[in-house]
This record gives sequence, structure tokens and C-alpha cells, in this order.
Amino acid sequence: MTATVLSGFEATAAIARLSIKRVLRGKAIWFAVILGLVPALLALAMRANNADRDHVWDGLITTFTLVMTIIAPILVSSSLSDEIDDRTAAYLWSRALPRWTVVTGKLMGLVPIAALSVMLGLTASWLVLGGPAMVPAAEFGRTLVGFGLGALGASAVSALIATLFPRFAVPIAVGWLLLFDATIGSLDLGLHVITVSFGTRAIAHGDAGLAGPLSLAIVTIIATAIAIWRVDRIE
Amino acid sequence: MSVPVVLADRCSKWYGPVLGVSDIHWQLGGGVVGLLGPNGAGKSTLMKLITGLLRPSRGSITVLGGNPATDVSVRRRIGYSPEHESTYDELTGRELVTALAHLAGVPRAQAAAAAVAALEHMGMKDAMDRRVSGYSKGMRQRTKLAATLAHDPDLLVLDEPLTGVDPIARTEIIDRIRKLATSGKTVVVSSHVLYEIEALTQDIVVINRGQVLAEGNLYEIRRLIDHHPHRIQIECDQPRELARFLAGIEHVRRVSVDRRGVTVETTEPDRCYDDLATAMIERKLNLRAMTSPDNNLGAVFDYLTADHGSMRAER
Repeated sequence: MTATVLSGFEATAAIARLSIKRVLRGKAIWFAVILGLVPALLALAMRANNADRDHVWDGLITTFTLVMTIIAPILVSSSLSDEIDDRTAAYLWSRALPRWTVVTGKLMGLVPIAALSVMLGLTASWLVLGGPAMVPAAEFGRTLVGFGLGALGASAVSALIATLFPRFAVPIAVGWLLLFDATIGSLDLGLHVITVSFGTRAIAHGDAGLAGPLSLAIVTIIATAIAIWRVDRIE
Repeated sequence: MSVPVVLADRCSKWYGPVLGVSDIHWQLGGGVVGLLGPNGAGKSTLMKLITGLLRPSRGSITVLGGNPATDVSVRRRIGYSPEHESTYDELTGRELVTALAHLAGVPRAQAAAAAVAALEHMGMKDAMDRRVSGYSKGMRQRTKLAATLAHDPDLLVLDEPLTGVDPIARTEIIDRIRKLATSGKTVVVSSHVLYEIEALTQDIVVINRGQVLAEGNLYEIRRLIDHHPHRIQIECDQPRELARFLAGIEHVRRVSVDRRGVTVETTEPDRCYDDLATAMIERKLNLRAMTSPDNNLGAVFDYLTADHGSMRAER
């Protein structure tokens, strides 16, 4: 056997596999999936009441934006903060891998799970509403993309908060995304362009041109960069 | 000249106002070395510096010729078992050790086999497919040790590997660590219990309050410890009579009487216990209790710090 030093990508992929395995065996995944499906009940009620189509879909997008701001911290913040707070990070820090791969690995492994949890609920809600007869497939697909990218942004912010406040990472991340990000993101104050909720909704609604993707890209890059910087200094 | 495995050069580490280790100058050439010191002495801090988990606040630490905090190729050659027992409880022992072996640089295709070999070496063959959450403390320690050696490191850093384990597991773990040493590994192992270290190695480094107090052969350290004035507190029905008797004995350095009884300070505890037995019989004293507040390492370290300063025994 010859031990070598893993490349950054190999280490990221290894951390991702480890994170996925741990999350799939925990309770958080069930909570995320169930939470993601809750809006489908809302959709069912709206359909029963013959609510206006645009009103229903807009309402669901807003609801899923809030759901996403809870699911991402539950999966990502807890995974990273548990490593730091429970001191299992010592197993990772002491190994032959750069610390930044722990952040990128967690994101690589958990963002798809967070995104799928939201997208599963969104698809269920869409089907409950009547599928393409109610919301055209193209519009629905655009919404899925919006929430997929939104999950990436929300996860990056969740990772950042986990590195800054590992002791209370989940409530702080949920509080930040739910209260600050969602509030600022819904107000036309200029600052809204640097929020996850604005970027997600902009893509989902198909308006604001490139502002949505750019907004999410900026938030994701800045949050990930600070999280990596922070992880490198944790002792 | 061979490169030392560990070289701490005037290395200090503090956490805000709290001192972890202070101005440590220490060199490790190889073999098994025991870090001995009471809780909070700085053993774990020194081990985290060796493994690159911490960076020195001042001075430097070189491990296997490189900086463990910045050079991942150095960390590939280190196996670290932290003091705490937290692990990834959702995984089985086999999955845990396989994942950590791969992260330590073992190619993915070989990691599973390396993990199984390490777990078998640590006596975990029958339990390796059970989840870690169901393990006893001893099994967790053995699994941690398997994860430490699965990537075949040159230097093993084991922080309190015997804490919380039952006597049978303790004996097994000691036996396995000794086997590692005979296979040519350099092992740094810490404990706050002298006899645990004694069972593992003759070379020890005594640490207290972040400083190396003594370093060298266990017997030399023991000699220093044996010179430590030993206090014995005796509760009896006639404390003043007992104090008068003890005051006339050559090896007794000090006797005091207070409401708790008699406190005697001696340089020869064995002889003192014999003399106390004689006094009880000859003077017909009724003994109620006898304790020695110095029967712990903390007191010995305080003594070494206060009276002798840093001592280095011959290797």
C-alpha cells in the first residue's frame, strides 16, 4: 500500500461521499424531504379552492423560497458545524488534505441533496396543481433551475455561518436566511441583489435577466470564499 | 545526521490569554515517548502542534522535516488519535476507517483492505460492520487507533488512548501499541496516569503548565518523584502525642497539628508508614483515617515546578 496526497478534487469528492453517507443515515434528510413536501398540501388546498393560477404559483414560489432557507441550514450548517463543535474535524484537519476541501466537499455532497429535497416538493406541488395544464413545463423547468441554484447559494451561506458560529449554526443560518435574506430580497432597496431569495425568485419567475444568476453567483462565491478562509484559521 | 522526527524550537502556543505550551524546546528522534502530565498541562496542545492542527504562536515545530500545519505531505506520514471519543457514529467501524484511510492518502481501491487490516490488528474484526454508535468506549478507542494506523504512518500521535476504557481493553490496547513500536513506528502517547505510560515506554516527557519539566528515562523521572517530600495526614485520638513521636524521627521534615489531625512531611514514605504503625502500637493510639494528598501526579508536578525547575534526566 502506498499512501499519496490526494488532489484537491479527489479530497473534495471523498469528503462529499462521506458527507452524503452520513446525511443519508441521519434524521435531517427525512426532515428536509418532509418539509419540502409540505407546500404540496398547500397546493392541494389552493386547487380545491380553485384559486387563481398565477396567484397560486407565485405563492408556491414564495413558500418554497422560505422552505429552502430552512432545508439548506439543516443539511449544510449542521454537517459542517457538527464537525467543528463535536471536534470530529480533527480527523479531517490532521489528514493529508487541504482544509478548503472540507468546505467544497460538504457543498459538493450536500447541495444536490438540499436541491433535490426542494425540487421534489416543487414537482409534487406542480403535479398536485395539475402539471403542464396549470403551469407550462418550460416555466416549471425554469423554476426548478432557480431553486437548484438557490439551494447552492443558500448552502454556501449556511456553510459560511457554520464556520463563523459553529455552536448555534443552524438557528443563526435559518434566522439569517429567513429574516434578513428573505426580507431584504423582497424589498427593492438595491441591497436585494445580493440575497439568495432575490436570485432564486428572479430565475424562477424568469424576469430580471441575468441579475438573478449573477446575484446567486456573487453570494455563492463570496460566502464560500469566506467559509474557506475561516476554516483555514479554525483551531 | 538524521533528521529528528519532531523538533520543537522554542515553541509557544496560547489561546488569547490562556497559555497552551510555553517556550518548549524538545527533540524526538524515534521510538515510543510518553507525554505525562496532569489534565490541562499542555499535552494535547503539544500533540495538536505536532499534527498541524494548531500553528505555534511563537517559535516553530518541525515534523519529519516539514511544517505539519502547511505541508500536507508531512501530515500524510502522521497518524493522530484525538483525546475525545467523538466519531462519525452513523458509520460502521469499517466504513469509518476506510473513509479516513482514503482521506489520509490511501488510494480508494486499497482503502477498504487497509481499513480491514488495521481493524483486525486492533481486535475489531468481529465488530467492524456494526455502527460506531453502538460501540463501547474501548471499541471506540480501538477503532480510532485503527483509523490512526490504516494509512501506515511513520509517526503515531495518540492523545490519551486509554482514557475511559475497561481494564481488559486497556491491556489489549497497551499490547497493540507496544507491537506498533516494535514494528518501527515512532509513537508519541500521552496520559495523566503514570502507570499507563509506564506500561508503554521507558522514555517519558513530563509536562506541566505548558512546559517540559523533565525528560528522559522513566527510572530517572521516578527517582525525582521519589525525592518529592511526601505528605501524610493522620486522624487519631491523640494527635499531639503522635506529633511528638514523629518529630523525633530523622526522615520527617515537618510535623503540624490542626483540627483535622496530624500532617507529616517525609522524604521516605515507606519508612514513615512503618514508623506510624509502630507509634500506633507502642503509644496505643487509635487511628481513624490516614490519607496522602500527594499520591497524584499534580502534586509531584507542583513540586518539580516549585522547587526544582526543569530537570532533564539522562537517556
